[in-house]
Amino acid sequence: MISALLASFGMLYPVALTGLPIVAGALVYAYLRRGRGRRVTVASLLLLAQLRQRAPARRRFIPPIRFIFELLLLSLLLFGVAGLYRRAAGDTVAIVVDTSLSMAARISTDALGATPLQRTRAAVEELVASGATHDQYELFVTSPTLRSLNGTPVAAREIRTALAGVEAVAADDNLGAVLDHFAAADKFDRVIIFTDQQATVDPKSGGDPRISLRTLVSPAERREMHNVAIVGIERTRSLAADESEVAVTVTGFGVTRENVRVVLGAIPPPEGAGEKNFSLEEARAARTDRRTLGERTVILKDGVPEIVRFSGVRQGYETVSARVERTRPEFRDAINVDNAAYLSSDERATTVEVVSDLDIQALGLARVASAKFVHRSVNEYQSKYENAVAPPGERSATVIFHRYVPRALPPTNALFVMPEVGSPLIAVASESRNVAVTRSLASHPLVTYLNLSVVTFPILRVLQLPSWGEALIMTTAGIAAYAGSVQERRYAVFGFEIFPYEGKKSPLLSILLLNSLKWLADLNTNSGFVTVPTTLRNVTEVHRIDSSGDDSSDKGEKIASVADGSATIDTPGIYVTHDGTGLRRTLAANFFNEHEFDVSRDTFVRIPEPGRRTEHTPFSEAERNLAGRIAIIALVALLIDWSIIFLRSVRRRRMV
Amino acid sequence: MLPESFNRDLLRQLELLKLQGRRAFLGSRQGGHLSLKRGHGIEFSDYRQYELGDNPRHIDWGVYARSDRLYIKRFQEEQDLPVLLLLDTSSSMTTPAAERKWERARDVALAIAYVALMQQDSVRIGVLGRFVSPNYYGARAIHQVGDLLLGVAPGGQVDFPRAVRDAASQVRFPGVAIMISDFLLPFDQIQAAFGSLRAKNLDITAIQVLSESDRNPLAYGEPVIAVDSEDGREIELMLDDQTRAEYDQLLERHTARLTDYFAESRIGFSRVHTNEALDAYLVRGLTTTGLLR
Repeated sequence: MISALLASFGMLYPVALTGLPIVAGALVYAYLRRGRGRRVTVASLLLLAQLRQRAPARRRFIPPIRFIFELLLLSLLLFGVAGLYRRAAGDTVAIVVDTSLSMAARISTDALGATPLQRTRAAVEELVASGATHDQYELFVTSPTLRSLNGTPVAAREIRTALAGVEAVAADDNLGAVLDHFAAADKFDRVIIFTDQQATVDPKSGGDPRISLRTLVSPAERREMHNVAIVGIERTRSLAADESEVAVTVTGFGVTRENVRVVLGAIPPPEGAGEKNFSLEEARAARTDRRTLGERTVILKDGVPEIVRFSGVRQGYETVSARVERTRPEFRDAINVDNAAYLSSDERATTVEVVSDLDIQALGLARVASAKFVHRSVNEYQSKYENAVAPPGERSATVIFHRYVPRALPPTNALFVMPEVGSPLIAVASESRNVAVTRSLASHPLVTYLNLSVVTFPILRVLQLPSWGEALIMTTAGIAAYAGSVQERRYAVFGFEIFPYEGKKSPLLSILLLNSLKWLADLNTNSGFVTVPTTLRNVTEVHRIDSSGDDSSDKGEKIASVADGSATIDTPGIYVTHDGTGLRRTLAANFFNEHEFDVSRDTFVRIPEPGRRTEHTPFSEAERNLAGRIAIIALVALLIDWSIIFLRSVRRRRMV
Repeated sequence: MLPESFNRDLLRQLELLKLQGRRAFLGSRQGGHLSLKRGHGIEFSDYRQYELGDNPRHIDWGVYARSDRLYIKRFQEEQDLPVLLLLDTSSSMTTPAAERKWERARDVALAIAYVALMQQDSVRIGVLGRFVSPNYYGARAIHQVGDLLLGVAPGGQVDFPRAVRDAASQVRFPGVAIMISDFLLPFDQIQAAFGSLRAKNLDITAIQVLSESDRNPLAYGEPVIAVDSEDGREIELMLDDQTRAEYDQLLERHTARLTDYFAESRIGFSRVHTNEALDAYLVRGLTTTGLLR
């Protein structure tokens, strides 16, 4: 029983206990000195030192009660310094489930055709069943953003309940940021990540020993997985005719030569001349009404995109969907969600707020026709949003901050360009000149298809990566750009100047800006689509009338996720939205991510070294604050005791 | 400025006293003491035979009448008496502070200085281990001397022989030296210190200042750790009957040794206790040394 009690305590700095014998020895010495009598200062020891017999024989040291009391207090103080804390019974385990799209890929060689996510459920069940009785678990999903499903560690049976509702979504896995987050957090004794990726560790440091990866797909299984996906869709309009051309880009992953059929379909236009947006009733009716506009067959080779063009798309067929279908029945397509892509013609310009001391003209944004830019100077922004007493009212969904950083992240999507040096919010490590790009994160929508290796930044503010950020562009001096999400809002930061927008004169920077606007503002730069997952704002109702997902049951019905005028959509498809004024909008939503589509290749993620723990240190939890309380009590008691001794000696000296 | 103990009555008594050397010295100025210089002072000293060129006014005609020989009178020149007052400012003079050993030493020095300055002697104050003052002259200088001594904050450890040697090295003319201390230090250091003064051919007087705690340093029957006020050394002891008797013997022996040494060295010696009235000591105690009359 005693050993169990002792085992329930832990110590942060046990080396501090080596001071115990030193402290005990010092206390004994002090008491031996005290026992020798009080100290009296005399004019001279000249004669006293000559006395032959001076002191009685020293008695054996018998510790008085006060000595024991002081020794106990000093011991308690040392235990406090050693960081004594009470362990929670059992381990606290974080179970992190990769819920990105690739986890929904069917494993072709699996007898049941299971997906990595289905295997995860079984693996988690087995894990909690084999765990200790007092272990507690907290369940996390990685996509679209890392979030806890329990909020706090719970018993194993509650995990099973929460696990049943976990589904893969059309989103990236963010595993790099997820691993960094857990390496920095100290709340968990173990972190187990279930994913379809493989783990690597730095050979020198070995990675954080608390974190382990369970890979649900073996390399041999991967080699047998094939996927055909639409990786892009685009409409180009002819100025002369009232027709347009739709180009659908299709890629095969893990295929040799696979014959597929690409079908372009359209949802007939709503009633009413010139009307492009559906009413709710029309949306329900449109569930089954499809027109095929064209069909093509194409042979796909592994990793090679093929563009299929459908010309002569008549005006009126603004809302189209493209599907890629297998021609061979025996072909097992791993993922279905990526077999469709959508376009609509929502041409309502998105409003983007621009905070800069340069106006829209000077920034070149007047040339960007697909968005409406509202300019605010820095002072105006501060008066309206940062220093205002009353709530500011409705805000644009996206803000561009040029050479200015607000005090806190805004409650909107935002792009920061050339953030100020010295801001704690967007940290700048240094400023460098003539910096060359070394690599970029090709899979991210902001930089995809951009050849940045030829770019040199004349001036670069080297950025410090926050916990929520993912580095997009790396240079010889450090990070030049990063992006990420915080509470479903997207933020991107460029440490280099991208203004003024000059179109074809500086194509790379121009595309970078347009990609940013598209990613942040759902900007239909091409009468196109929004990228899921995304949050629709200023809506009262959202209905899905088409989707590529397997869950077709709720098509045409309300998506019950509208809260405070916002709704998050995470499945590609066609959506009809209404705002409070009755304004209708038809939106196409897509997810294009080759990193998630390519399930045929092994991908690796590095387990980081233990980070500097910033969360949940033992002293941040009340139950582990034992050390602090012990140390304070002991210190106060000792100070009172020694004050009493000191005052007594002063009084004695005065009497002398 | 003078301490409060220097009231009008005390000053009046001091004005009646006269400082004297037990020997004659060469002074640098005209003063009230007989000098070794022979010349044309007031007091008759001796005869010598008339030589060609002597002033005939100094011929003693009485001697001529008796002896038919011509003799010239010789006179002693009267000069000032340089007085050097050396004070021990080590921590033993301030322990315990309540018994005011230092204050007594200071007051004795000030009283002697007052007497000396009133009779036009020069006075110099040596604060051992710290400084030696310039010469002070005239009765009004007593306030400067008072300010000087009142501004001294005694304490710390003093290398007694070296401090006395340094003070003695600044003496240009032999005169009177008065050392005021408790002399609670090893005998060889006392010898070395006074040796420096004797080498300067000074008329030396030693004044020992003792307090009650020098006679009874510790409480009886209590184990204590006695700490030396100057060097911080510690010893454990307990004063019982036996050790008490032994201590008294040691004190007596030390005092006797001092007395014998001073006597052999022709150094005037006086002892003052802090519980003794200052005026009584000055009038009765100091006059026994021959320093004051």
